[in-house]
Amino acid sequence: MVNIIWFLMILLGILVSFISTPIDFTNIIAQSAESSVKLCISLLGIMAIWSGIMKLCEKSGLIELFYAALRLPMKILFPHLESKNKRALYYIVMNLASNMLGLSNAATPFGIKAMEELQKINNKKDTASDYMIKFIIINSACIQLIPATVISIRANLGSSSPSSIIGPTIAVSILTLFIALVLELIFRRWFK
Amino acid sequence: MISIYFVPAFILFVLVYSIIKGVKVYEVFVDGAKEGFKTVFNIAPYLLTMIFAIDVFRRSGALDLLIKFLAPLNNLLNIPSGVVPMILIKPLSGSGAISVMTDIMKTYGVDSTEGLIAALIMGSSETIFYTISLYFGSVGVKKIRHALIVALIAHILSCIIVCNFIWIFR
Repeated sequence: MVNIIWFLMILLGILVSFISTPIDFTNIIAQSAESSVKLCISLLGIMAIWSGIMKLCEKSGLIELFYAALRLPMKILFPHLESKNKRALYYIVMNLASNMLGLSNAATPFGIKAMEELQKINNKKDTASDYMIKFIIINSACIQLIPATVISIRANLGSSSPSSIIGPTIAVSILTLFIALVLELIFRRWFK
Repeated sequence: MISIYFVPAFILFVLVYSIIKGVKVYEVFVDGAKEGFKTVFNIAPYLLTMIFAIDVFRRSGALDLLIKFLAPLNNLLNIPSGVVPMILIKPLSGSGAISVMTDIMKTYGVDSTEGLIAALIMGSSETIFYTISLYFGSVGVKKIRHALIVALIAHILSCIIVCNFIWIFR
Protein backbone atom coordinates (compact mmCIF):
# COMPACT_ATOMS: atom_id res chain seq x y z
CA MET A 1 0.00 0.00 0.00
CA VAL A 2 2.59 2.50 1.12
CA ASN A 3 4.70 1.54 -1.92
CA ILE A 4 1.93 2.53 -4.30
CA ILE A 5 1.08 5.80 -2.52
CA TRP A 6 4.74 6.80 -2.26
CA PHE A 7 5.31 5.97 -5.94
CA LEU A 8 2.19 7.88 -7.06
CA MET A 9 3.15 11.00 -5.11
CA ILE A 10 6.56 11.18 -6.79
CA LEU A 11 5.24 10.15 -10.23
CA LEU A 12 2.51 12.81 -10.17
CA GLY A 13 4.91 15.38 -8.77
CA ILE A 14 7.49 14.89 -11.51
CA LEU A 15 4.88 14.70 -14.31
CA VAL A 16 3.20 17.91 -13.12
CA SER A 17 6.56 19.67 -12.86
CA PHE A 18 7.11 18.86 -16.59
CA ILE A 19 3.86 20.40 -17.81
CA SER A 20 3.54 23.38 -15.47
CA THR A 21 5.78 26.42 -15.29
CA PRO A 22 9.44 25.39 -15.20
CA ILE A 23 10.45 24.40 -11.68
CA ASP A 24 14.00 23.82 -10.56
CA PHE A 25 13.55 20.21 -9.58
CA THR A 26 17.07 19.69 -8.24
CA ASN A 27 16.36 22.58 -5.91
CA ILE A 28 13.25 20.85 -4.54
CA ILE A 29 15.29 17.70 -3.90
CA ALA A 30 18.09 19.59 -2.19
CA GLN A 31 15.74 21.58 0.02
CA SER A 32 13.69 18.52 0.91
CA ALA A 33 16.81 16.60 1.94
CA GLU A 34 18.00 19.55 3.97
CA SER A 35 14.68 20.00 5.76
CA SER A 36 14.59 16.28 6.65
CA VAL A 37 18.05 16.46 8.17
CA LYS A 38 17.14 19.64 10.06
CA LEU A 39 14.04 17.91 11.39
CA CYS A 40 16.09 14.92 12.54
CA ILE A 41 18.67 17.13 14.23
CA SER A 42 16.00 19.05 16.11
CA LEU A 43 14.39 15.71 16.97
CA LEU A 44 17.70 14.40 18.36
CA GLY A 45 17.80 16.86 21.22
CA ILE A 46 14.15 16.86 22.16
CA MET A 47 13.85 13.09 21.82
CA ALA A 48 16.90 12.57 24.05
CA ILE A 49 15.43 14.80 26.77
CA TRP A 50 11.96 13.26 26.72
CA SER A 51 13.45 9.76 26.48
CA GLY A 52 15.37 10.58 29.67
CA ILE A 53 12.16 11.66 31.40
CA MET A 54 10.43 8.58 30.03
CA LYS A 55 13.13 6.36 31.51
CA LEU A 56 12.50 8.00 34.89
CA CYS A 57 8.76 7.30 34.62
CA GLU A 58 9.64 3.71 33.80
CA LYS A 59 12.21 3.11 36.56
CA SER A 60 10.20 4.86 39.28
CA GLY A 61 7.10 2.80 38.51
CA LEU A 62 5.10 5.88 37.53
CA ILE A 63 3.91 4.26 34.30
CA GLU A 64 2.23 1.46 36.28
CA LEU A 65 0.39 4.09 38.29
CA PHE A 66 -0.91 5.79 35.14
CA TYR A 67 -1.84 2.45 33.65
CA ALA A 68 -3.93 1.48 36.67
CA ALA A 69 -6.05 4.59 36.10
CA LEU A 70 -6.77 3.77 32.46
CA ARG A 71 -6.85 -0.01 32.63
CA LEU A 72 -10.47 -0.59 31.64
CA PRO A 73 -10.60 1.33 28.31
CA MET A 74 -7.22 -0.19 27.40
CA LYS A 75 -8.50 -3.72 28.00
CA ILE A 76 -11.42 -3.01 25.67
CA LEU A 77 -9.27 -1.41 22.94
CA PHE A 78 -6.45 -3.98 23.13
CA PRO A 79 -8.01 -7.32 24.11
CA HIS A 80 -5.64 -10.00 25.50
CA LEU A 81 -2.63 -7.68 25.22
CA GLU A 82 -2.29 -7.51 29.00
CA SER A 83 -1.42 -11.20 29.26
CA LYS A 84 0.87 -11.08 26.20
CA ASN A 85 2.91 -7.99 26.94
CA LYS A 86 1.89 -5.71 29.78
CA ARG A 87 4.75 -3.28 29.22
CA ALA A 88 3.38 -2.43 25.77
CA LEU A 89 0.16 -1.28 27.43
CA TYR A 90 2.06 0.91 29.92
CA TYR A 91 3.72 2.77 27.05
CA ILE A 92 0.52 3.01 25.03
CA VAL A 93 -1.21 4.62 28.02
CA MET A 94 1.64 7.10 28.49
CA ASN A 95 1.67 7.91 24.78
CA LEU A 96 -2.07 8.56 24.64
CA ALA A 97 -2.04 10.56 27.89
CA SER A 98 0.82 12.78 26.66
CA ASN A 99 -0.97 13.34 23.36
CA MET A 100 -4.20 14.25 25.15
CA LEU A 101 -2.33 16.80 27.25
CA GLY A 102 -0.73 18.29 24.14
CA LEU A 103 2.80 17.08 25.00
CA SER A 104 3.53 15.67 21.56
CA ASN A 105 7.29 15.68 22.20
CA ALA A 106 6.79 13.49 25.25
CA ALA A 107 4.34 11.28 23.38
CA THR A 108 6.81 10.25 20.66
CA PRO A 109 9.35 8.33 22.81
CA PHE A 110 6.52 6.54 24.62
CA GLY A 111 4.91 5.67 21.30
CA ILE A 112 8.16 4.28 19.94
CA LYS A 113 8.68 2.22 23.11
CA ALA A 114 5.15 0.88 22.69
CA MET A 115 5.96 -0.13 19.12
CA GLU A 116 9.16 -1.89 20.28
CA GLU A 117 7.22 -3.87 22.89
CA LEU A 118 4.53 -4.75 20.33
CA GLN A 119 7.26 -5.86 17.92
CA LYS A 120 8.49 -8.38 20.55
CA ILE A 121 5.18 -10.28 20.36
CA ASN A 122 4.83 -9.82 16.60
CA ASN A 123 5.17 -13.07 14.63
CA LYS A 124 6.13 -11.49 11.30
CA LYS A 125 8.79 -8.88 12.05
CA ASP A 126 8.53 -7.01 8.75
CA THR A 127 4.72 -6.80 8.85
CA ALA A 128 2.51 -4.67 11.08
CA SER A 129 0.52 -6.62 13.70
CA ASP A 130 -3.14 -5.97 14.48
CA TYR A 131 -2.18 -4.32 17.77
CA MET A 132 0.27 -1.99 16.02
CA ILE A 133 -2.31 -0.90 13.48
CA LYS A 134 -4.89 -0.24 16.15
CA PHE A 135 -2.36 1.77 18.15
CA ILE A 136 -1.40 3.89 15.10
CA ILE A 137 -5.03 4.46 14.23
CA ILE A 138 -5.91 5.62 17.74
CA ASN A 139 -2.87 7.85 17.58
CA SER A 140 -3.94 9.35 14.24
CA ALA A 141 -7.26 10.49 15.66
CA CYS A 142 -5.21 12.69 17.97
CA ILE A 143 -7.55 13.31 20.88
CA GLN A 144 -6.35 16.53 22.50
CA LEU A 145 -7.96 18.00 25.58
CA ILE A 146 -6.61 21.46 24.77
CA PRO A 147 -5.66 22.18 21.13
CA ALA A 148 -3.22 24.90 22.23
CA THR A 149 -1.82 25.84 18.80
CA VAL A 150 -5.25 26.28 17.24
CA ILE A 151 -6.49 28.34 20.19
CA SER A 152 -3.51 30.69 20.11
CA ILE A 153 -3.81 31.25 16.34
CA ARG A 154 -7.56 31.92 16.72
CA ALA A 155 -6.80 34.38 19.52
CA ASN A 156 -4.16 36.14 17.41
CA LEU A 157 -6.59 36.56 14.52
CA GLY A 158 -9.23 38.11 16.79
CA SER A 159 -11.73 35.30 17.27
CA SER A 160 -14.68 36.28 19.48
CA SER A 161 -14.09 33.20 21.63
CA PRO A 162 -10.83 31.37 20.77
CA SER A 163 -11.21 28.54 23.28
CA SER A 164 -14.79 27.65 22.29
CA ILE A 165 -13.12 25.31 19.78
CA ILE A 166 -12.18 22.88 22.58
CA GLY A 167 -15.52 21.04 22.89
CA PRO A 168 -16.12 20.65 19.13
CA THR A 169 -12.49 19.52 18.58
CA ILE A 170 -12.86 16.74 21.17
CA ALA A 171 -16.21 15.72 19.66
CA VAL A 172 -14.72 15.54 16.14
CA SER A 173 -11.65 13.62 17.40
CA ILE A 174 -13.87 11.02 19.03
CA LEU A 175 -15.94 10.78 15.84
CA THR A 176 -12.77 10.28 13.75
CA LEU A 177 -11.53 7.64 16.18
CA PHE A 178 -14.85 5.80 16.07
CA ILE A 179 -14.93 5.80 12.24
CA ALA A 180 -11.30 4.62 12.14
CA LEU A 181 -11.92 1.75 14.55
CA VAL A 182 -14.93 0.55 12.55
CA LEU A 183 -12.98 0.82 9.27
CA GLU A 184 -10.09 -1.09 10.86
CA LEU A 185 -12.40 -4.00 11.68
CA ILE A 186 -13.69 -4.04 8.09
CA PHE A 187 -10.31 -3.66 6.35
CA ARG A 188 -8.55 -6.19 8.59
CA ARG A 189 -9.98 -9.08 6.52
CA TRP A 190 -8.54 -7.81 3.23
CA PHE A 191 -5.04 -7.06 4.52
CA LYS A 192 -3.86 -10.24 6.17
CA MET B 1 -1.70 29.62 29.70
CA ILE B 2 -2.04 26.26 31.45
CA SER B 3 0.47 24.69 29.08
CA ILE B 4 3.21 27.09 30.24
CA TYR B 5 3.11 25.61 33.75
CA PHE B 6 2.16 22.14 32.74
CA VAL B 7 5.48 20.94 31.29
CA PRO B 8 7.70 22.11 34.20
CA ALA B 9 5.13 20.81 36.71
CA PHE B 10 5.07 17.43 35.00
CA ILE B 11 8.87 17.16 34.89
CA LEU B 12 9.09 18.21 38.54
CA PHE B 13 6.50 15.60 39.50
CA VAL B 14 8.40 12.84 37.67
CA LEU B 15 11.71 13.85 39.27
CA VAL B 16 10.33 14.11 42.81
CA TYR B 17 8.48 10.81 42.48
CA SER B 18 11.66 9.12 41.16
CA ILE B 19 13.81 10.50 44.02
CA ILE B 20 11.27 9.28 46.60
CA LYS B 21 11.32 5.84 44.98
CA GLY B 22 15.11 5.80 45.25
CA VAL B 23 15.86 6.03 41.53
CA LYS B 24 19.32 7.31 40.54
CA VAL B 25 17.85 10.14 38.51
CA TYR B 26 20.97 11.34 36.73
CA GLU B 27 22.15 7.92 35.59
CA VAL B 28 18.70 6.82 34.48
CA PHE B 29 18.17 10.04 32.54
CA VAL B 30 21.46 9.49 30.68
CA ASP B 31 20.38 5.95 29.78
CA GLY B 32 17.12 7.31 28.41
CA ALA B 33 18.89 10.03 26.43
CA LYS B 34 21.11 7.34 24.84
CA GLU B 35 18.04 5.48 23.66
CA GLY B 36 16.58 8.73 22.33
CA PHE B 37 19.62 9.30 20.12
CA LYS B 38 19.51 5.74 18.80
CA THR B 39 15.82 6.06 18.02
CA VAL B 40 16.31 9.16 15.88
CA PHE B 41 19.03 7.39 13.89
CA ASN B 42 16.64 4.49 13.30
CA ILE B 43 13.76 6.63 12.09
CA ALA B 44 15.82 9.17 10.07
CA PRO B 45 15.81 7.21 6.76
CA TYR B 46 12.07 6.56 7.01
CA LEU B 47 11.31 10.23 7.67
CA LEU B 48 13.57 11.41 4.84
CA THR B 49 11.97 8.99 2.37
CA MET B 50 8.44 10.12 3.26
CA ILE B 51 9.25 13.83 3.42
CA PHE B 52 10.94 13.59 0.00
CA ALA B 53 7.72 12.29 -1.61
CA ILE B 54 5.59 14.86 0.22
CA ASP B 55 7.83 17.75 -0.87
CA VAL B 56 7.92 16.60 -4.50
CA PHE B 57 4.13 16.21 -4.48
CA ARG B 58 3.49 19.61 -2.89
CA ARG B 59 6.11 21.84 -4.45
CA SER B 60 5.73 20.56 -8.01
CA GLY B 61 2.14 21.84 -7.98
CA ALA B 62 0.62 18.34 -8.07
CA LEU B 63 -1.26 19.03 -4.82
CA ASP B 64 -2.78 22.23 -6.25
CA LEU B 65 -3.80 20.32 -9.38
CA LEU B 66 -5.46 17.65 -7.25
CA ILE B 67 -7.38 20.35 -5.38
CA LYS B 68 -8.65 21.77 -8.70
CA PHE B 69 -9.44 18.30 -9.96
CA LEU B 70 -11.57 17.54 -6.91
CA ALA B 71 -13.65 20.73 -7.21
CA PRO B 72 -16.78 19.14 -8.76
CA LEU B 73 -16.83 16.49 -6.06
CA ASN B 74 -16.89 19.14 -3.34
CA ASN B 75 -20.22 20.55 -4.42
CA LEU B 76 -21.66 17.07 -4.35
CA LEU B 77 -20.39 16.42 -0.81
CA ASN B 78 -21.21 19.92 0.41
CA ILE B 79 -17.59 20.81 1.22
CA PRO B 80 -16.84 24.56 1.03
CA SER B 81 -14.17 25.00 -1.67
CA GLY B 82 -12.00 27.06 0.70
CA VAL B 83 -11.32 24.18 3.08
CA VAL B 84 -10.29 21.58 0.47
CA PRO B 85 -6.57 22.45 0.72
CA MET B 86 -6.84 21.94 4.49
CA ILE B 87 -8.35 18.46 4.14
CA LEU B 88 -5.59 17.42 1.73
CA ILE B 89 -2.60 18.98 3.48
CA LYS B 90 -3.36 17.88 7.05
CA PRO B 91 -2.31 14.21 6.68
CA LEU B 92 0.86 15.25 4.80
CA SER B 93 2.42 18.11 6.73
CA GLY B 94 1.90 19.61 10.17
CA SER B 95 3.59 22.93 9.48
CA GLY B 96 1.91 23.11 6.06
CA ALA B 97 -1.48 22.59 7.71
CA ILE B 98 -0.85 25.42 10.18
CA SER B 99 -0.08 27.87 7.37
CA VAL B 100 -3.09 26.72 5.29
CA MET B 101 -5.37 27.08 8.35
CA THR B 102 -4.05 30.59 9.03
CA ASP B 103 -4.62 31.49 5.36
CA ILE B 104 -8.21 30.24 5.47
CA MET B 105 -8.91 32.18 8.67
CA LYS B 106 -7.45 35.36 7.18
CA THR B 107 -9.37 34.98 3.91
CA TYR B 108 -12.79 33.96 5.23
CA GLY B 109 -12.62 35.27 8.81
CA VAL B 110 -11.56 33.37 11.90
CA ASP B 111 -15.14 32.75 13.11
CA SER B 112 -16.52 31.98 9.63
CA THR B 113 -17.75 28.51 8.66
CA GLU B 114 -14.52 27.93 6.71
CA GLY B 115 -12.36 29.14 9.61
CA LEU B 116 -14.19 26.90 12.05
CA ILE B 117 -13.91 23.83 9.83
CA ALA B 118 -10.18 24.46 9.32
CA ALA B 119 -9.65 24.74 13.09
CA LEU B 120 -11.53 21.50 13.69
CA ILE B 121 -9.56 19.62 11.04
CA MET B 122 -6.31 20.97 12.51
CA GLY B 123 -7.11 19.82 16.04
CA SER B 124 -8.80 16.52 15.38
CA SER B 125 -6.36 14.55 13.25
CA GLU B 126 -2.67 13.80 13.26
CA THR B 127 -0.11 14.28 10.48
CA ILE B 128 -0.81 10.71 9.37
CA PHE B 129 2.10 10.23 6.93
CA TYR B 130 4.59 11.45 9.54
CA THR B 131 3.14 9.31 12.35
CA ILE B 132 3.17 6.20 10.21
CA SER B 133 6.72 6.59 8.91
CA LEU B 134 7.92 7.47 12.41
CA TYR B 135 6.32 4.63 14.36
CA PHE B 136 6.66 1.84 11.81
CA GLY B 137 10.15 3.06 10.94
CA SER B 138 11.24 2.84 14.56
CA VAL B 139 10.75 -0.95 14.58
CA GLY B 140 11.66 -1.57 10.94
CA VAL B 141 8.18 -2.66 9.86
CA LYS B 142 7.86 -2.17 6.11
CA LYS B 143 4.54 -3.89 5.37
CA ILE B 144 2.05 -1.62 7.08
CA ARG B 145 -1.08 -3.42 5.79
CA HIS B 146 -4.22 -1.27 6.14
CA ALA B 147 -2.83 1.32 8.61
CA LEU B 148 -2.42 4.20 6.16
CA ILE B 149 -5.58 3.61 4.13
CA VAL B 150 -7.81 3.31 7.22
CA ALA B 151 -6.37 6.46 8.81
CA LEU B 152 -6.78 8.40 5.54
CA ILE B 153 -10.35 7.27 4.83
CA ALA B 154 -11.33 7.99 8.45
CA HIS B 155 -9.82 11.47 8.14
CA ILE B 156 -11.70 12.23 4.89
CA LEU B 157 -15.01 10.81 6.14
CA SER B 158 -14.74 12.79 9.34
CA CYS B 159 -13.98 15.98 7.34
CA ILE B 160 -17.05 15.42 5.16
CA ILE B 161 -19.21 14.95 8.26
CA VAL B 162 -17.76 18.09 9.85
CA CYS B 163 -18.51 20.14 6.71
CA ASN B 164 -22.10 18.93 6.61
CA PHE B 165 -22.85 19.29 10.31
CA ILE B 166 -20.84 22.39 11.13
CA TRP B 167 -24.10 24.22 12.00
CA ILE B 168 -24.25 22.20 15.23
CA PHE B 169 -21.20 24.04 16.52
CA ARG B 170 -22.18 27.53 15.42
